[in-house]
Amino acid sequence: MTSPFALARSVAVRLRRRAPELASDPAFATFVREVGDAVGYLQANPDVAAARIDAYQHWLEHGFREGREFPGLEVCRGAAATSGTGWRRFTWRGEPIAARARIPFPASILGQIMAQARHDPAILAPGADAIGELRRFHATDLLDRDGIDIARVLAAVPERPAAVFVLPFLLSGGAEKYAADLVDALATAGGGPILVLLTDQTEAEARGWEDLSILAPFRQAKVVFWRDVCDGFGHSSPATLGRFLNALRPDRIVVVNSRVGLETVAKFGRGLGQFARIACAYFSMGRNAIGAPYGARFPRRTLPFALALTDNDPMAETLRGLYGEMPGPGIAMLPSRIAPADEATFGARLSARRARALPPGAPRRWAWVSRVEPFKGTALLAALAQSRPADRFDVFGPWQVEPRSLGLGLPNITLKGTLPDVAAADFSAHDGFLFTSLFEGMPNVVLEMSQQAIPMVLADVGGLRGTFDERAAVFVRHGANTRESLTAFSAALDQVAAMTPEEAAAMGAAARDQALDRHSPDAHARSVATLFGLT
Amino acid sequence: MTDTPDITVTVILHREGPLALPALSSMHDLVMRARAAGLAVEARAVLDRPDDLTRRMAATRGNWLDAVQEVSVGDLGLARNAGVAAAHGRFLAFLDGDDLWGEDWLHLAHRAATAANAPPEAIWHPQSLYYFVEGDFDRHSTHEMPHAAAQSFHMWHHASDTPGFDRDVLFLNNIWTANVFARREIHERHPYTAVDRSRGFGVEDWSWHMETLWDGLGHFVVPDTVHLIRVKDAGSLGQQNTAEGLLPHLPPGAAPRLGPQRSAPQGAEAV
Repeated sequence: MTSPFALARSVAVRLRRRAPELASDPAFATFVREVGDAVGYLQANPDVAAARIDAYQHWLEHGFREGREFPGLEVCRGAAATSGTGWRRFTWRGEPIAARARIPFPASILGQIMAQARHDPAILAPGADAIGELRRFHATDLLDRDGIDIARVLAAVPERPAAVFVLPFLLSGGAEKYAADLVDALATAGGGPILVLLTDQTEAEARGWEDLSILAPFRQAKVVFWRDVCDGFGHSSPATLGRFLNALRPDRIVVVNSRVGLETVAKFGRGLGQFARIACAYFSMGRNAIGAPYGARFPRRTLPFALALTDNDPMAETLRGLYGEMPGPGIAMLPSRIAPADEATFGARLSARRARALPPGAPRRWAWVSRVEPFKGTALLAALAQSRPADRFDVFGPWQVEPRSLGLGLPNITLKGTLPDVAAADFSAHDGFLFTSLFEGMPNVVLEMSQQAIPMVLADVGGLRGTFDERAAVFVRHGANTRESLTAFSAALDQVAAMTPEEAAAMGAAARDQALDRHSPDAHARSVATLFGLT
Repeated sequence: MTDTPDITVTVILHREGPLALPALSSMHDLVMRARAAGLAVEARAVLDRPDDLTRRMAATRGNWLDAVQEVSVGDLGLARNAGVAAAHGRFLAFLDGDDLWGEDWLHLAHRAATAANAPPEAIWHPQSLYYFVEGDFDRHSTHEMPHAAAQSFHMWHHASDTPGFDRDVLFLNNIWTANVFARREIHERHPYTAVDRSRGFGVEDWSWHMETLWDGLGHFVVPDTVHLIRVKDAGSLGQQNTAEGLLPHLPPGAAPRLGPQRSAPQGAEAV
C-alpha cells in the first residue's frame, strides 16, 4: 500500500468544480440529517461550534469539501461509489455518491488491535477510545485514497495511444504550437493514435481552444483534461501519471512544459523508457533562471531517460555544455515549423509594403505581438511608448495580468487582444514589428511575423540569430537596465523608420527566405520522423 | 511438529532493529492462537542482509521460532521466495518484520481457505488494515472523536469477487497488502519477481497481486481479521518504491479496458 499520508488528507479536493446544485440533491441532504451525529461533528470541529453554524449545513456546504468526517456517516465516491453492496446511492452536485450509516467499528477487530498494544504502545497513539472512529478507507476507492477516479480516467481514453503528449495548457503560445506541430508531424508519419493530456487546465478553462489556428493539429488527437478526469487531487501526482502511462504503454511520450509531466519522467522515466521513447522539450534557461524555467530545473533529472528536445541552438549548446557527457537518449535540436504564407499572399504583402511611403519624421505605427507579461519586455514597451508619444503601439496578445498594471495604459498604446491567427492578420498599416522579450527559446511569433513582409526589430535573444541575420531584421541587445534598452530599441525603431519602402520590402523578403530555409514543413517532418523512429 | 504442517508462517526481516521486537511478539501470539486451534504451524524467519541489531532481536525475541534462515538476496520478493523454498506447510503465510497482526489471522485464514465452499485457487487477505502513526501521540485524543489531524486510519480490503470489482484499479495502485495466505502450490507457481532497479520496475507484492489475479486466481478477505501496519516517517517500502521511481511489473498482455463503454453503471440504486 502506498501514500498513507496522502490518504489522510485525501478529501481535501473532493468535489468537482461545478455550480452548486444543492436543491437538486435533497435526498442526500436528508440522508445526512437522518444518520449523521451533529453533536459529534461539533465536538470534533470546535471552529464550527464556535461559529454557531448548523452542523449538517456546514458539512454539506463546506465540511465535505474540506475533508471533514461526519460522525455516523460513511461516504464513497468515484468508481467505488457505483460498486459494492450495502451502500445507498445518491447524486450529489451531479456526481454519483454512495453513503451509508457509519457501521460501528467491529468489536472483534477493535479487540484484536487493542490486544496488540501490549507489544507496542504506538498502536494507541491516536487515543485508545478514538481508534474505532478513525478515518476509514476502502482499498479499491482510489478517488478517496489518491484523488483519482479510475473509471473516468480510463473511460476518457478511447484506445491505446501510440503517443502521449503531456502539456499544461492549450494556449496561443509558442510551446503549444511546437507541440501541436509535433503532433501533426507524428500523425502524418503514422505515429498515431495520439493522446494529448492537459495537466493544468480544465476543459472549461480551455474553452475555445479549437478556434486557435496554431492548435489545429490537436483536433486530430484525443484531448483529455487530466484535472477533470482525475476528479480529485490526483492530477498533481507524478506517481499517478507514471502508473497511468505504464498502463497505457505508448510507444512515445512527449512532455512540453508540464510540471507534473516532467516530474513523472524524472521519477519514473527509467521504467517508462523501457517501452516508450521519451522526449522532454526545453526552450530556454531564462535570464539568470528568473522565473524558474523548466529548462534550468529538469534536464539533469530527465536526461537519463528522455531525449532533451529544443528548438534553438543556444539552448542545445547550453544543454550539451552542462550535461553532454550524461548517458541517455541525448540532446536534439528540432527547429520549430513555420506555416509559410503562400506566394500570392506574400506577394501582395510585399506590394503593400512597397506602397507604404511616409514622409520623414511622420509618426509611425508599430505592432507588438506576444503574450502580455513582464518577461516579454512590457516595461520596455511602456518606456518606448512614453518616449515616442507621437508613435502608436498596437499590442496583440493575451494577458493574465491587467495590462495597465504593467504600465501599458498610455494613450498611444492600443490593446488589441489575442490574434486568433497571426498568419492571417493584416499588418500592412504597421511600419514594423517590435519584439522586446527578455529571453526566449525560438519565439514562434517571430517566425509567423516573418511571413508578413514587415521590418522586424528583434531583441537579440534565444535562437533568433540561428535563423535570421541583419538582412532580415534589426537586432537589439538588451541593456543592463530598461533605460539602456530603451536607448538601443529606440535607435532601432529610428533605423526602420528611416528605411525606404523598397528597403523595408527587401528586409521582409529576406526574413521569409531565411525562415523557410530552416523551418519548412518538409524539413520539420523529416526531423520528427528521424527523432521518433518513424523512418 | 508433523512432517507437513498445516501452515508455514514466515516473517521477513532486514534492518528493522527494535521494531522487530513487537513484530516477533505479535507473530508469537498468532502462532500460539493457531496452534491452540489445533493447527500445526511452522514458524520461520528469513533475514535478508540483516544488520547486527536485527539479527540479535531475531535470536532473542524469536527464540521460539522453528527456524531462522539468513539469506543475502537484498530483495523482498526473493527473500519471500527463499521462504517458500524452505517452508514445509500446506499453506504459506508471510509477514513483514515491522508490523503486527491480530491474533486470529492465521487460524481464521486457514479456516476460510479449507472451508467446504472455499475456492481452490485463492489468495487470502485480512479484512482490515490498521495503519498506525506513532506521531499521533502529538495529535492524541482523550475521547471517542479522533483529533482532526490524526494520521492513523483504517483500510478495508475487498475481495476480487465483490460485485462491481474493477481489476483495472490495480494499474493505478495496489489494493492488497503483502500479508497473504495461500496454498504452497500457488507460491511455487507464482514466485515473486525481483525488483529490477536498472529497468525501473519492482513493487513485489503489487506485481504479484496483478500477476495472480490476471492468471485467474481470486483474492479474498477473511472476516474479522486485522493487519496492523506501522507507518514510518521514512524508510517504508512504499516510500522507498516511490523514491526509487519503481513501477509495478505488468502481467504479460495486461492492459486496462479503455473507452466510454467501460464506465461503471451509474444511478442504478439512486434514491
